[in-house]
Amino acid sequence: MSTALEALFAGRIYESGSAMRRTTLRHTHLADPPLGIAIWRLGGERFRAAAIAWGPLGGPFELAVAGEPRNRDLYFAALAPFAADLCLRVRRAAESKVARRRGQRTDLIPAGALQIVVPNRTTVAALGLLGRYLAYLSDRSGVAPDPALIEAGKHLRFYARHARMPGQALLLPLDRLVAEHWATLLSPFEQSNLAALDAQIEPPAGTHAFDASVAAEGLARIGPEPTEDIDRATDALLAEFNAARAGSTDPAVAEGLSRPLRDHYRRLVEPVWQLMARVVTREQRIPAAPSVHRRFEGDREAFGRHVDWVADGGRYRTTDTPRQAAMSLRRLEDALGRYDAEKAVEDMACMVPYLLDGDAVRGVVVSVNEHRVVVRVRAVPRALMTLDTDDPVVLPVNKKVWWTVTADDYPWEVQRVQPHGHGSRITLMLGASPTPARLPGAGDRVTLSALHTRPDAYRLSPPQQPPWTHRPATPPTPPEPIDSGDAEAPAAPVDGATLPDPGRYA
Amino acid sequence: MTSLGTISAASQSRFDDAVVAAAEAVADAMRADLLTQVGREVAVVGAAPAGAGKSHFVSATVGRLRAEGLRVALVAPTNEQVQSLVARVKQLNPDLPVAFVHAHGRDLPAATAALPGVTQPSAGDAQAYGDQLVVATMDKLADAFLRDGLGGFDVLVIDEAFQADAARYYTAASVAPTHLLVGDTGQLDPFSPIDDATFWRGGPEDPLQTAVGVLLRNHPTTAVHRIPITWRLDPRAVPIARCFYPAHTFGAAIRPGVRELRITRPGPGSRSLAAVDRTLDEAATHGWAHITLPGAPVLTADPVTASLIRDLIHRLFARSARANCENRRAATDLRPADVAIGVSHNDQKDLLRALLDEAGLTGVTVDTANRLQGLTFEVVVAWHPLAGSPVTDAFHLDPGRLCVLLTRHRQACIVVGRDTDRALLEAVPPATPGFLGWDPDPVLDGWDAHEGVFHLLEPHVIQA
Amino acid sequence: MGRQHRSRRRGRPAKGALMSRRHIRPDPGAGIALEHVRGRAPTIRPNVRRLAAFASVHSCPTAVVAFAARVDTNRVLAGTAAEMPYGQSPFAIGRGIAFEALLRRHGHAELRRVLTDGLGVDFSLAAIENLREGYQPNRTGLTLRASVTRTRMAEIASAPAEPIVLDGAVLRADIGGLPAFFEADEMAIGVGGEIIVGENKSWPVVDGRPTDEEALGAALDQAATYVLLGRRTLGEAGVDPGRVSGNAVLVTPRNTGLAPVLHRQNVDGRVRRVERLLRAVPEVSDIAAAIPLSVTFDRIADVSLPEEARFEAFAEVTDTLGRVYEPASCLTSCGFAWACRQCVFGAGDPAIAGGPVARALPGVASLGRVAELGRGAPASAAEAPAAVPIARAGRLYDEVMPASRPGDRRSA
Repeated sequence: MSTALEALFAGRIYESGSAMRRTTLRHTHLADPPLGIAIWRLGGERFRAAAIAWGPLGGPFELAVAGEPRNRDLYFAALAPFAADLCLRVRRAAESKVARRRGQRTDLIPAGALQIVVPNRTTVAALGLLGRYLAYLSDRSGVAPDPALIEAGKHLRFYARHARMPGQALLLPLDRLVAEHWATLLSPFEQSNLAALDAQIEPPAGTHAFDASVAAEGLARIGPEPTEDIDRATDALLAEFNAARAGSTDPAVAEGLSRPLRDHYRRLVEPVWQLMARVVTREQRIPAAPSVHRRFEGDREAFGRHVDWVADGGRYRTTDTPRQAAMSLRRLEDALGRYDAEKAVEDMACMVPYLLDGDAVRGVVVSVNEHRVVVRVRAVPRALMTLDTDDPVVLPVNKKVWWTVTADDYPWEVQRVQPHGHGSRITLMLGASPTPARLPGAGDRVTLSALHTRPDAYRLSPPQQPPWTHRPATPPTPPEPIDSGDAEAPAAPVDGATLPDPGRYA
Repeated sequence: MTSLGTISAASQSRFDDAVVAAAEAVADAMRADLLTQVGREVAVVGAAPAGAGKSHFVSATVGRLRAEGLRVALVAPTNEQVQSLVARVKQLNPDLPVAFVHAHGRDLPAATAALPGVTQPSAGDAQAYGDQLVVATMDKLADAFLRDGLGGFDVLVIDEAFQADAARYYTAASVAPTHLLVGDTGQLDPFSPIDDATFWRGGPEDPLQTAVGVLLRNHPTTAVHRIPITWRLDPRAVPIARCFYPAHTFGAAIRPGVRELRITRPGPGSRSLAAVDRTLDEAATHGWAHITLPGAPVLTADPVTASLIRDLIHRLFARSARANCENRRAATDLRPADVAIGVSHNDQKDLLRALLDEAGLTGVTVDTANRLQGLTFEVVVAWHPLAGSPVTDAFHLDPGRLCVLLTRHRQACIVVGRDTDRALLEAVPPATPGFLGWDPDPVLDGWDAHEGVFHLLEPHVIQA
Repeated sequence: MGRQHRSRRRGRPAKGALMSRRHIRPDPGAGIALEHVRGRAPTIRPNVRRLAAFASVHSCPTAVVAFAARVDTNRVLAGTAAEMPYGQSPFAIGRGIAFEALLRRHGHAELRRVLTDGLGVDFSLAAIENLREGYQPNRTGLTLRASVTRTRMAEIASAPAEPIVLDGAVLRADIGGLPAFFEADEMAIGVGGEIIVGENKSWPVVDGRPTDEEALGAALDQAATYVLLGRRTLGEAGVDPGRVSGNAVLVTPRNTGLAPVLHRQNVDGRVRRVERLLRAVPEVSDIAAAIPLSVTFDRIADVSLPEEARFEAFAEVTDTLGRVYEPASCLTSCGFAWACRQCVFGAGDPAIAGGPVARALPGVASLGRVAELGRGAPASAAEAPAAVPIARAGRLYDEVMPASRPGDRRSA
C-alpha cells in the first residue's frame, strides 16, 4: 500500500516538474548490451508479426518483414533469420558453464544467459503467443517446418513464462523496469507507455514532466498492436505487395517487392529502438543491488535447464498440469516474498513504504545487553535491545522482526512497546546466541522489519501422479494443432471509415 | 452419540428443535454417506453457513470414524484451526488418542498438549507407530507424506475446505482414498499475493480454486450436503447472514430471546455520547446497529471513525454490559475478550490498537477479516469495508470480507460507516474481466450481498 | 477551497433531476434543448459499446450530458492535440467481418456446426432466419427488425418445436427516454425450450483461454445486455422472460485462423449489472431541463476556431457541468479524457495520479499543497489526517535520498 508515499511523489513531481527515483539502487540485472526485440503485429492477428526487429541494444537492429505475414510460406521465410539468430544466441549464451555450490551439491550452470528486453508487457505476451505458435507447428502436406522456427518458438515460450517470476531479468519489459525505479505523475494505467514514462524522467528544459509525457503520448507508437493510421498505411502497401507478387510465395520475389513495407516498419521501429536504448543506458548507470547477482543466477539456472531440455529434444506441454501449476504458484510466491524483502533490506528507499505501513521500524539503539533465558531446561545466552523509534510504533508482543544487516539470519522478538517522546521505546530479544555480528552498537541508527532474506525451506515436489480428486472422470480431448488455420486465405482488410459502426468488430 | 450440539433436557426449550433436528438429519446423512463409501475414491462435501458447528461436527465425526476402527487424518489450512481442532476432538471424545504432527516451533499450547492421549510425534514416528488419528495442517501433512511417508489413512477429513486451495489439496489428497470436506462457502476465498493470480483461473489446473471446487469440477456427481443450521448466530442475525449464502437455507439453532445483551447502566452519558449510547441500546435490543458518520472524503484509516469505535467499546464496558445465553445459568459481565473489532486494512487495525491500548482496552481483539475467519465473539464492531470510500472496487466489495465481519457475533454486531456508503451501490458496478469456465464474479456477487445488507440494516441506522 | 471541489459542485444538475422516473412520451422541448447542447458536435447513436463506455464514466456530469445529447466524444476534439486515437486497424475490422461471413457461408454451415457441437442440439436442419437482409440500414429498418424480432421470439418461445436461429435479432431499449436498438449476433431458440443469446468475436481463444480477459468480460457484458433486453421483449409479449437463458454463448476462433468454437458462460450477474446501468442513464428530458443555457459543445467542435479557443470552451463547459476524472476509466472510455486530464493537471488536482493517490488526500486541496505538507508545513484541521503520513513520508524519503531537494528540476 503506502499511498502516502505515492501521494508525496505526486506532490513533489507536480511542483518540481520532473520524475523522482523510487530507489537508490538498480534491482534488476542489465546485460551490456541486452538483446532488444520490438514487434509490430498485423491488426487483430495475434500470431502474425508483420515486423520483428532485433539486435543488441545500442547498435543497429535487423528487421524481418514478411510482406504478407498471413501467408505461411512468406511468414516463415521472413522469420527464419530471426529464429536462426535467436537460437544461435541462446545456445552461445548457455555454452560456458560455471560450478555453483549449494550446500552439499555442486551444479554446472551457464555463466551467463541471454537477456531480452522489450518495450512493454504487451510485447511479452505477444512473444509468448508467437512462441506458442512456432513451437507447435505441424507438418503441412508432408513438409516439416524449419526446425529453427520450432526451436525459436520453444525459447520464446520459455522466456514469456519465465517472465512471470518476480525479480527475474531474462525477459525484461522496460515499462515495468522504469516504473519500478521511478515515480512519475502517470497513473498505473498510463505507465504502460514507455515513451510517456521516459518523457517524465528527462523532460526538455523548461517543460514540465506532465506536458512532456502528453507530447510523447501523442507521438509515440510502440506496438505490438498497430493503431488505425499505421495499419491504413500498411493496408495500402500490403495491397500493392500482394498485387505485385501475384500469388507467388517465392522468398526471392517477396524480398524484392517488400522494400516499401520494410521502410514503413523501419520508420516505426527506429524511435522505439532509440527509446529502449536510452532507457537501458540510463538504468545501467545506477549501481546494481547486491542480490541482483543472486536473482540472475537463478535466471541462469532456469535458462540452462531450458537449453539442455530443448537440446535433448524435450517438448513442453501447452498447459500446466495441476502439479505444475501448484509448484509454479509456490515458486512465484516464494520469489515475490524474497524479491520484496531483498529490495527493502538492501535499499533504504525501498524500505520507506514498509516504515510508513508499520511493518518496519527505524530508530536509535539505546542499549544492547546480554541476557540469559531458559529454553526448555537450559539457560542460554540471548541479547536484549532497547530501541527508541522516530515515530510511534504499533507492534504486537512476540512479533518477529529482522535487523536489515542480519536479514538472512535470526529475528528479534518484540518484548515490550511503550510511548517515548515522539515515538516509542521498544525492547526486543534476539532469538539466537548473541555473536558480535548479530548485535548493533549503542547509538547506531538501525532498521528492523518483518522482511527477511533467509532462503526458503526446500520444498519437496508433489507426487507425479495426480490424486483422483485432481483427475477428471473423463480425460479431456486432446487440443487441435495451433496452426490449423494457417492455410486459410487472409481476410480482406476493411477501413473503418467505410462502415457505419466499425466498433462492432472490436 | 453426540451430533451437532449438546442438548440437555433442561435447556431444550432454548433451541429450535425443528432446525436442530433438520441439521442432525443432514449430519447423519453425511456420516452414513461417508461410511458406506469408505475405501472408495469418493468424497462427501458439507457446505455450512457461518457458525454452523462445523468443527463440532468434524470432531464428532472423527470420533465416529475411529469407533469403526478407521485410520483418520484430520487437517485444516491454518495452525490455529488445527490446534483448536485437537482441543475440540478431545472435548467430544475424551478417551481418544490424538497425534498432532506439527512444523518446528508450532507445538500445541500447553493446556491442550497436557490432555490425556494427546501426543506430538514426528511424522516418521506417527507412521511407524501407526497412530490412528493424526491431526495436522494441510501443508504439514503434505510434507510429512512426501518426506516421511505418512499416509495409508482410510479417511481424510478437511475442515475449512472452502479456504483450502487446490494446490494444498493436491498432495494431501494422496493420504487416503475417501475424503470428507467441510467448509463455509461465504467466507474469504483462497488468495495469493502474486500479480497474476488469475493466470490459471477457469482451467482445471487452477491451483487457487478451492479444494471443493477442484473436486466438484473433476467429479461433479460428488454429494454436496447443505448443513441448514447456525449455532453462533441467533434468529435476528440470520436474515443478514443469508445475504452471503444465496443458494443455502438455514435457520438459527437458538430460539429468539435466549441470547440477551443488557446494557445495565442507562445512557446517555452526555450529549456528545448520545449517538453512541443510542447505538449500544439498539444493538442490545435488536442484535444490530448501524451508526453512520456524515459523508466526507476520508482516509481508509480515518481517525474520526476509529475514535467513534473506541468510544463505542469504552461505553459498552462503562455501561456494564451483561450477556446471557444458552451456555450460562445467568447473565454475566461482558469481558474484553468477548469483544472484537473487525476491519479491512492493517492501518485501520494499527490505529485502533493504539487507541484501545491507550484507553486501557488491551483485551479487546482488533483484526482484519482475514484473521478473524472462523472465530467467535459475543459482540463485534465491524468497520464497514466501504466506509467513507469514494468508489467501489473488488477488494472492498468482496462478499467474503463482509461475511466474516458480520457473522462472528453471538449477541450483537455494530456496523460503523458513513451515511454516503449506501449510495455507492446506487451507481453501476465496475466492469469485470471474464474467465472461461469460471462463473463466479466476486464484484457482482459482492454488490448484491452488500446491497442486501444495507437494506436489512436500514431499520437500525443511527446518525452520529 | 480547491478549484476541483468547486468545479464538481457548481452548476451540477441536481441528482434528483438526473435520476427521476421515465416519461412515456419524448419531450419535444428536450429535443430542442439538446440540439443546442450539441451544436455542431458530431453525434453517435447509442449502441451496446457506447452503453458499456458510459458505464465506466457514469458518475461524471459532463459524460452524462454528452451521452444524453448523443455527442460522439471521440470526434468533438478532432484536429486538436487533445484528439485521442480511437479507430481500429483495417485488418482487425476485416478479420471481424470475415469471421461473420465465415459463419454465414453455405447456408450458415459453420454456425450450425458450432451450435450443434456446443449446445448438444442438432442445428444442421434448423431454420435460420436472416433478419439483416432486406432491411434498410437506418432507423426505419431497425424499427422493423425489432418488431419482427419481437413477434418471432414470442411465437417461437410460446410453442417451441425444432431449433431455430435468429440471425441479426434486433432488440429495442429505452435509453434515457429515447429508443435505441441493439443487434444480437445470433439468437438460438428451441434448445430445451430456452432461448440462447450468442455473441461473435474474432479474437482467438488459445488453450481454453482468451488472449485478453478484459475483452472477454466486455463480450460477456454485451451478451448480458441482449439477455436482459430479450427478457424484457418476451415480458412485453406476455411470455415468461425466464425463457431467455442466463447462460450465453460466445463464438470465437480457436487458435490461428478463423475456425469457430463455442463457449458457454453464465452471465446472470452481468445481466443485473446492465439493468442497473440502464437505470443509471438519466432521462433526456431531465438532463435538458437541468443544463444551464451556457452549456454547449458547439464551440469545442468548431474546427475553424484556434485550438486555444476550443480548449478554453471545453474547460468552461466542463467547469460548469463538473468533471470526475479517473485515469483508468476515462482514458479507456471517453474521448474527452486527454482534454480533461489537462484541466485536472492545471488545477493541481490529485486525481491526475489516479484513485488511490486521491484517496490518500482528503481535505488537501491540490498537489502543490501536498508538496508543502511533505516538507512538514503546518496542516489545517481538515488536512491533518492526511498530512501526518505525508510529512512522515517526506521526512523518510529525504533521509534516504539526500541528493533530492524539492524544487530541483532534475532529481537523481
